[in-house]
Amino acid sequence: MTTTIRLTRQIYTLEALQQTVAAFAGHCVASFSAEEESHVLQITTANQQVEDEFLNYVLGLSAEEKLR
Amino acid sequence: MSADWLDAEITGDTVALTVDERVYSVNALLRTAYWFTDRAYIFVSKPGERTLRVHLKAKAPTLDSPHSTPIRDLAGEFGNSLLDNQLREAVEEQTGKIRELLVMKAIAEAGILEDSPPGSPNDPVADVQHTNLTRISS
Repeated sequence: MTTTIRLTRQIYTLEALQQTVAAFAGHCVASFSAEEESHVLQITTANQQVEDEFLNYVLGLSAEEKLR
Repeated sequence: MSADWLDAEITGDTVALTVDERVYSVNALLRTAYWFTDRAYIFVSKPGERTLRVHLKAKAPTLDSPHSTPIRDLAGEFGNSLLDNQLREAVEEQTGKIRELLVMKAIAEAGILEDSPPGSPNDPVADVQHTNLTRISS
């Protein structure tokens, strides 16, 4: 199952996304590209929970980075 | 199903909340979302110029947390927590400098900073010249 998700730059940082893609490399196939106001994430996984965990992870890292 | 008082849409085990950026800051939202990531899966989108949409999906019960909160209650708690964080930000803005001054005064009065700073207060070049030169006297 491949999903395309737009992550707004206002909330999600590029560094957090890069780190999350690296951290989840063994669980899903993910790539991203850039739009003016968003990162466009393409994630392929057989398990919806992996996608949910991915999104939580990138949100957590982005929050840590922005609130530092 | 909708929860009008919260501007939320509930679909199955998921709820979507609309957050007005004129009322809540991004930092307050991030702080709140961060604290809820252990209880729910969270995704934030930006559907409009001044609005953010928070999607919450309740996590399945685990051995560590066997009781899952109903999604409607979770949305309510999220809203309360968001308000709490926003208020903390406002209070910080109003009283942050006074608090800093009080802490600095307390530290100064306690004499914690009375130790002399490390190193020599002398001119380091003069120190080096003084120690490395050998005086030749006839």
